[in-house]
Amino acid sequence: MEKKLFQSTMSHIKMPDSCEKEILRKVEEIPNERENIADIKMHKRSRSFIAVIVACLCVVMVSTVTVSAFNGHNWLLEIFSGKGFTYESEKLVLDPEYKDKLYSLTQDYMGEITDFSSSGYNSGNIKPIGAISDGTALYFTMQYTPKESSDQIEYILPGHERTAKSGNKELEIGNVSSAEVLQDDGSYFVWIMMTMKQPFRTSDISVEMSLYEARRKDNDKDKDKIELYESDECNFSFNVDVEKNAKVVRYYIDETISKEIETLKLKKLFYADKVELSAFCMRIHGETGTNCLDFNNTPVKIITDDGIEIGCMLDGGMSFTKKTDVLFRYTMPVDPETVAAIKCGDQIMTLKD
Amino acid sequence: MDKQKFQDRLSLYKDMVYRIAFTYLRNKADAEDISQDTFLKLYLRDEDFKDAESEKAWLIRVTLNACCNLKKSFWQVKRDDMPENMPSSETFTTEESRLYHAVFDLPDKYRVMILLYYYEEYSVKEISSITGTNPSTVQTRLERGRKRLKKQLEKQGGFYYGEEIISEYNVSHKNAGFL
Repeated sequence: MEKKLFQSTMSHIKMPDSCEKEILRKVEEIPNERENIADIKMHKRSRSFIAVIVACLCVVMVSTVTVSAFNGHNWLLEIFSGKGFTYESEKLVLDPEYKDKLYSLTQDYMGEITDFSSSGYNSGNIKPIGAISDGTALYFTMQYTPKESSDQIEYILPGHERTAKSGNKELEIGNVSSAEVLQDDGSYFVWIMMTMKQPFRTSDISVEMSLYEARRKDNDKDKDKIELYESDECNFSFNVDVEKNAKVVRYYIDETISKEIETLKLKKLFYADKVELSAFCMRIHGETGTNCLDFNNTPVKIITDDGIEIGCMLDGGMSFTKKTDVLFRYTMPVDPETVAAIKCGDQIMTLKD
Repeated sequence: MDKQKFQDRLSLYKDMVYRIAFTYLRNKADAEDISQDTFLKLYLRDEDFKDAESEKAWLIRVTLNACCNLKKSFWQVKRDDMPENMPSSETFTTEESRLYHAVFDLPDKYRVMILLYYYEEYSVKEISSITGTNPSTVQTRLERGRKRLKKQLEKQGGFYYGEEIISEYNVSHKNAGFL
């Protein structure tokens, strides 16, 4: 076999006309959004300036970052854009009308990150981008630049030790997830989502945790195998203050969620007596009809006043206690007052008359 | 970038960007999404490129980063691997079809390196600079990719085409010095 054969083979792979047309169509739509792009650039410059001063101070950084809805990297948009934790909303995010809506929805939930400090491995190359919280979940974004080439990095993962406090009170962390996206400058945007087991006040939250690089490593003995290993951890801590209090809408209901589990010939039930809706999450309180509650295979959605269905992701797994609550995260933020119903599989629970 | 200039760039690089994305992801829909994102980034970029080569290298790097991000996304990790959508098979000769399948059976990291080296004709040093990979890693991946490709083709020939075709591969290998 020769190079020419390889080239003639691969030359059959060509961009379909429909794809080219789609690119040109999207480009035609762009002029309306150029104003936002100018804003983005302005903020980016001022933040870089802060970063230069901070880098000059010392290895342990202390910085204050004021978060803006239109800050340099669209970090907020990307959390809900399919690159972060959620994906169903990806197409909607491209819609400029939805983009405006998302910004105005989340603006109330954005916090100012203060007292950021980092230590340990590569601690000079991590900086905070922003944080948002609705009093149930805390999303925050870090920019992390690996010490060496990012080529072998498989994931940037949160370390196992993490604490969150509200004032002096330690918060019980429910679930922590992360996602990362490699930027063109070789740095990563790392989004971390933290849910708490109980609702918390959104002012003055302090977080301590770490990130570590999980790298790909070729095993010489068996070339098919790839190992993941931990390098040293990069520790960091910060405070976040969400000035505006998060809105929580509570409904007292009396509904039974039923589900037929065909393979087990069982009908598992959940008696829901209370629903708490915030901007990013929904918590359903109730009692399990059996000794095990499993929402994993039931698609759950919320339906807004104007009929839009928004997907919900189960946060955590099963519950084995009779009296329990189940937390779901939405695939995009929502004004909780506009939620009209909950859909569990085929079943619809109406919240409003 | 003005629209006319963008259209020229799109015509020039569309197949290259799509080919890299498709080779990496083995999926038509994903390759289309990545190609669209890459060209939109190009359109929105305000800085001019130093020369055509820098522009091409930038496009490749942005495409590869986007593919890498997609591969690692929560959605992709949870998704079952889908078979590649082969371009219309009537355009392939038998030899091309066998090679195509052998290439797409290679692990991601080898496939893309081989494409950049043998199709785009970049040197090891250039690939290293575009992808941010160590030159020795590029070299190793190319060597391993070549070995695997050879093995795949021999195996394929053995199973589906018998001894005669295997020897044909061996002969052409000796002549071309490629595998």
